[in-house]
Amino acid sequence: MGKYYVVADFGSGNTKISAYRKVQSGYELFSGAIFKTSATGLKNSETLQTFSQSLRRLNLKSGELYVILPEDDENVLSSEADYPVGNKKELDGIVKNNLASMLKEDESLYYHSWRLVKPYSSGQGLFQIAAVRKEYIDTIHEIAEQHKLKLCYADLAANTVENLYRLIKNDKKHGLSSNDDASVIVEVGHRSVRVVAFSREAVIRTSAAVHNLYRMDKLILDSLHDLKNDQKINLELLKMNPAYALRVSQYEGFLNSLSADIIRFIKQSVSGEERYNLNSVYFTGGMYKTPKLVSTIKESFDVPCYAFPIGDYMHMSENCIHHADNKLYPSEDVFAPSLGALIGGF
Amino acid sequence: MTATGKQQLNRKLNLVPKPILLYEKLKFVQRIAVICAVIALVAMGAYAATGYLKINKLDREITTDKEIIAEGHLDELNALKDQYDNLLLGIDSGNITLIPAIDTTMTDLFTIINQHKPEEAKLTGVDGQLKSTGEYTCRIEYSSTNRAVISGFLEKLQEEKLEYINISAITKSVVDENVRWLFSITVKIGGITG
Repeated sequence: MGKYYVVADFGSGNTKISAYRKVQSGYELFSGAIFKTSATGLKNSETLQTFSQSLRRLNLKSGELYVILPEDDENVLSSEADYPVGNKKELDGIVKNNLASMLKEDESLYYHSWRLVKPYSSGQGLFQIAAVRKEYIDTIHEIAEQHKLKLCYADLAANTVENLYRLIKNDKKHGLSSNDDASVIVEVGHRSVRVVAFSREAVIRTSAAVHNLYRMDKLILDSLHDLKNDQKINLELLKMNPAYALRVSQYEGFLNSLSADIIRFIKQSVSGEERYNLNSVYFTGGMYKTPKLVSTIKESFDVPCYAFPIGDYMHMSENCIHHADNKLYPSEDVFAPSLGALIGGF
Repeated sequence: MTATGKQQLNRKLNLVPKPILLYEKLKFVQRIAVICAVIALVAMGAYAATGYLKINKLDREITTDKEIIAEGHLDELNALKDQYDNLLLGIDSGNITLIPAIDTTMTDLFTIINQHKPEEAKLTGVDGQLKSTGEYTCRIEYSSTNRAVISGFLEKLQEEKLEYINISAITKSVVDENVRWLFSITVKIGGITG
């Protein structure tokens, strides 16, 4: 048997646990689970307990664990800054000195890491710095050990989505033909949207924003009147249905705000210092099928909009995901950041 | 500051701290070490078991040897072994047909010799030779410090009237001022045809 890879994506709405093995055509998702992340995220021990139970259910003898952490400005934080591009040791020192300004509490409570996002010709570079509470990583490590998994990699959700561009950029079918062209990956999650613009050579820009679509669950539920107590009603399915979504008066406002963010991010990416011809937009994530979103973006740029071809790189076995009874069976799209983490973990 | 160290700079972020990554690597090394130790233990166990069996076998052989030594046949057996080795060389060296049951003849001879050999007489030399003509000769020498012992032994052997042996006269040998009386039996087994 080959090696197993488990990705734990602690999303703001749902936590997605997915177990993969490498196959000839990419990765096979052969087991997994989806459960609701509690409102307080990893701070709530219930999330980590359910995480542990999900790993037990996987029952793997060994494997590597990759973790995707949600940014919350308190326990998992990130920032970007320009620093001189020196050697690694010097940069470690610079980052450590500036860490305190990013954190609200004592820096000894956090693990941190950094990466060079983009070097400038001036000798400076754009750096991303991220920090996570030690207790989160230590607890996840402890749980991983209990289930014979090796904790290898932990990254931010935005970075894992960014990794997906590597699959597209050199792809014969989807790849870019000219250095002046750019494509965009839009990942619409439960509470946030991430936009990754990339050229044939590199990532141009990664942006993220919080949206209000997660509030649709409650609003649609309220509009159901007597039906709201019917356990068989699947809210996730209803909010993707224009007949229900458009009935919610706030929906237009949510959609406008979300699409405006996406359009702004794309424009900023392709019309900055370096200009690119926007070639195509790829959508992924659990919420991109929300009514009128793709058509609004398409109308704005008049470029082809596709679903991210996740099926070309990942095969999901039938009925392999354990999920709550009253939940929609997940599509491969919700595992897009997990696939990105797999690519980034190597 | 220059961009000399750019190649070594982190291109990806990993919030798993180095001590945990190192621990995982060490755990892997530890697992390999444990597997190696188990393999070594199994190999040593198998080696010990084989050794134990060999020791058992050797013990049995030693017991047999001890029995042979106790019966006083070891020297004769060694001598016979030399004869057999020579015979084999003879077979390999040419188109020779040996007389049948040469080993039986030699065994019979030793049986007769041992019937008459007094305790004080010692076997002091065995020298066998298979000639290219197919003739097999063997010289067996017995000696004693007591002349009477040797002469008595010689007489008894002569009484047996074995046709295929010649018995020499008794001679005196002085080694380091010690006097010994000895005689030799020369076995000549014919019947070898070319």
